Amino acid sequence: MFRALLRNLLRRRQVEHDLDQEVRTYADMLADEKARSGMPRTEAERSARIELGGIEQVKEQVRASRTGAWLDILAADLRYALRTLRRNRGFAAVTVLTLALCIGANAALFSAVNVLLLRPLPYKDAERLVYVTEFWPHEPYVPGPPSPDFTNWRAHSQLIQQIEGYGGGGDVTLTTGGDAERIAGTSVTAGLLDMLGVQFALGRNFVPEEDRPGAPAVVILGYRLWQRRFSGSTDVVGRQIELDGVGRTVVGVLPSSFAFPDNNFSHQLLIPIGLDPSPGWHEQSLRLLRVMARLKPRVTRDAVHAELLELIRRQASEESPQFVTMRKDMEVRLIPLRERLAGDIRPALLVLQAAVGLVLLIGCLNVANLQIARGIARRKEMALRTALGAGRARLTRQLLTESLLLSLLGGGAGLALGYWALSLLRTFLPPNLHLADGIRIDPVVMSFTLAIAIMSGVVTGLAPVLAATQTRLDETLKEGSSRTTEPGSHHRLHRALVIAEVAVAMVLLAGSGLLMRSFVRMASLDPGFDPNGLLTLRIALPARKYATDQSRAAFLSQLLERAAAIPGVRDAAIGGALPLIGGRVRAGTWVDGRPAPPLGGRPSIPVTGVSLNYFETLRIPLLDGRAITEADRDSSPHAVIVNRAFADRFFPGEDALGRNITFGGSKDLNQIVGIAGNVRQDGLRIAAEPAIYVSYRQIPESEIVLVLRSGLQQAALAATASGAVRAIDPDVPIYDVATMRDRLAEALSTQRANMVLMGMFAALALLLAAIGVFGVIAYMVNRRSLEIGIRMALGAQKTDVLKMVLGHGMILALIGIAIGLGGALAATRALRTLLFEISPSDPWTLAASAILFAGVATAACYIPARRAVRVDPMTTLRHD
Amino acid sequence: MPSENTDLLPGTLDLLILQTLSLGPQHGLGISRRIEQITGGTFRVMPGSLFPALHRMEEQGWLDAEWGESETNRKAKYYGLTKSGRRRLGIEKGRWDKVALAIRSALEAR
Repeated sequence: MFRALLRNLLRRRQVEHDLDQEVRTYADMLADEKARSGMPRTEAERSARIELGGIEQVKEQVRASRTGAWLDILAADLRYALRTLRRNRGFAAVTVLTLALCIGANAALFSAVNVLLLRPLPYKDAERLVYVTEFWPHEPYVPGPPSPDFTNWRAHSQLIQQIEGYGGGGDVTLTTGGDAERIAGTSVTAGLLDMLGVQFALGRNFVPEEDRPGAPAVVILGYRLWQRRFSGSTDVVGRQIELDGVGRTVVGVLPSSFAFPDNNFSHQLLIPIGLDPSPGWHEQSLRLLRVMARLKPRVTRDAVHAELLELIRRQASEESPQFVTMRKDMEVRLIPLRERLAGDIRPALLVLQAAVGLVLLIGCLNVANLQIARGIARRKEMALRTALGAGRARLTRQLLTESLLLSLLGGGAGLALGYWALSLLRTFLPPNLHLADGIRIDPVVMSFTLAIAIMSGVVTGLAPVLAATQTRLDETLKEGSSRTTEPGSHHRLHRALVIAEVAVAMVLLAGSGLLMRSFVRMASLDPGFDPNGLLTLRIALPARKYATDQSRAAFLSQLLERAAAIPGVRDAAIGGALPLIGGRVRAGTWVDGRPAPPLGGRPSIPVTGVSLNYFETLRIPLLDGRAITEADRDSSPHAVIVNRAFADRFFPGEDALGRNITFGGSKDLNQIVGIAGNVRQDGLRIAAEPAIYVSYRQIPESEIVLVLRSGLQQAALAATASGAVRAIDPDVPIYDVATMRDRLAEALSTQRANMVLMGMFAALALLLAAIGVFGVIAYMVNRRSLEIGIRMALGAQKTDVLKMVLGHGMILALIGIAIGLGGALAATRALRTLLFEISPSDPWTLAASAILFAGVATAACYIPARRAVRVDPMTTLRHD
Repeated sequence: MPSENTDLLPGTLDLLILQTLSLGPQHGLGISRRIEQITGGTFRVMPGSLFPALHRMEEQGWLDAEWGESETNRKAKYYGLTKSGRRRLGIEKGRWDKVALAIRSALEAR
């Protein structure tokens, strides 16, 4: 067998010669036989050939049965395909480009889907990890379980293998190895990293002895911080670094691949959380945690959920009355880790992947259409090859080889395009999506790309196979003119594909229209302040140095003075938090004189310390009353300002001005002197909630935002302002410097990313569908030029012909658009979660998309129609 | 393609060729005529099936081929049975007997 294969491949010429000789001898001997029986020699030879059934056909059948025949055939097919494509460069280029664009977009998006939704998470046995949280309906801002619940679960759960916690409060100022720098750190229990299966780049994890109150101060560095601040030196382990003015010993460095299993927390720097081993329900030792647990094997989430709730119930008697009130109707929630990490982006990813899949479908339909058109033009070639001995299977293989060659070229180019598209896609993903760091074109993505390329090749190759192998040999060869009408079946297939293309593109266009309108809606929302010309800088006062209210207030007033003195700065203000910046402190609030609710039953309202000109600087309107003034300093009761939402909630139908309120632990009265406009504080999607503003002197916070209004160039101003802060105290870090406009754009970024990506896909789909319509009409005009010529010779007007051609195209387009609108009504429901204040079946959007599409289709038909009427009928008629 | 080709049961062509060649080497037309003769004209093997079969069986090592002079002085390729070809003939015969017996008893079963 193997020898035969070698012989067939290496001694091809000899083998072919022998075969030819053998078959010819057979024919000659057959003729000899016939001649012997009395037939004239020439007649005998003819009869022998007929009986043989054609020397070439017999040879071809032998070749096909040989060992390694498929290799031969493949090589021949490939050579032939390359030759054919070289002769049709335009066709080949359009096909490869179309497929490259579609496949590239699919590859890029799939690489994100793969990492975020499909591939196992980069943690040990991640499928058994769950995020455990609590929801208190009366205190919806509680971020996670309090420490007593955590220690209770840890001590008593039978179904959980391991339970660990982490939390905020890890933001620190690093002063070793460069300027004072504010770093988002996370505090973790000692076992968290072991539970996740982290292999350290250097050093080790925390040990339990380091995770206690008053334990030796230690720290683990994230890979990037280690590279950036300590230039990746290996002797960093064991060194002391200065954090918030306290020395901490570095015990380990995280690997570069590590991603913290919670997007709201950073892995730049980790410190032990140091929980009280037996915390009580009093506010001093109680901490609100984020909790992650590893379930025991074969344990369901439901069972664990029931167990955790039961454990809380068993220890409920230890809760202080205030927590009993706050925790009324509380829920425990177990969330799979993947949902926690990628749940927010999942709907968008799925919609976009579906969209890009549809774009590929349109691309394939387009290529199939081109192939059919070419297949019809190649009917003679096919017939000739059949006559020369090629079987139907062989022709099919030939056509499939051609389209596979095209699709693989397209796939290769698409992969290259995918690399580029991926870097673009990354800029569209939310910046804190930790898993996104792992997105790359890996072997899985390459296999996916190869698979869709082959699939496209088969799909686009089948259409011309259907068209080419149905034709009858003799009729095709006899056919004289190539410009009469051809069999109806080709036409029908051709048209059906164009209609399908238009319909699918219409769905995408409608979807993109909805996202565009959502974006516009969101972007045109009134944030409640004027973001133009505002520069914001965050500042953190080191806790040791600024331990008292007086020291902080002194720093802040000095800061305000210096900032206002910067030339070109019109207004300078500070706030404990600003719209879209920083977390606000909440305090249980009540109206003085009303019957007090049970302990813990006072609503938590954000209280923000601001400078006197805060409202002027941000241009937040003062709706009623007056601003806080210098005269209110040290006044009793304190003068405070509330927003409209506060007045509406606490004083519906009453006048809020002059009323006294209390908040927090203090018994001090606060008098409402003014009512400010509502501000969208926590993002554009979230409506304003009640808020209290007090003078920063009343609550001098250590983390504050400096905001400057000016007409200056922002980068230069940022440098000057930083200089002003450092001039007061060089140890105070300035961080997160950005203009308000940039922060607003950031708040819109998800909505914008969805809109832009979907828009790009829809534009590609529209273009491809337009090319499809153009192609089918141009082809029709070409094939029917004789008919058009006759019509015009018989007196048809140019406008009649124009109308006829346009009509043909528009019927196809309109059928497609109608089907597409139906599809859009069904499909855009999937968009619901991505939309903002717009219905998925918004009639205006659907109508506008349909009209846009009809316009593009008309243009696509108009070009070939114009060409049809410009033809001189005499030239056409004389052609044959 | 030649459609007047007499239907052969799958596998019978190989058996007939092997049987024919067991009597001595023969060229293509000779094989074809001999099969016609020994089956009493029931089977006429057309070159479109004959040559692929011969080449396939040669590649499998059942046949060997040699160029020789025909009775009419034409240069023809003569096929002969190899040792493994003889073994194959035995196997094919045994299988055919089994099939024939099975079909017969199936047809006679009432």
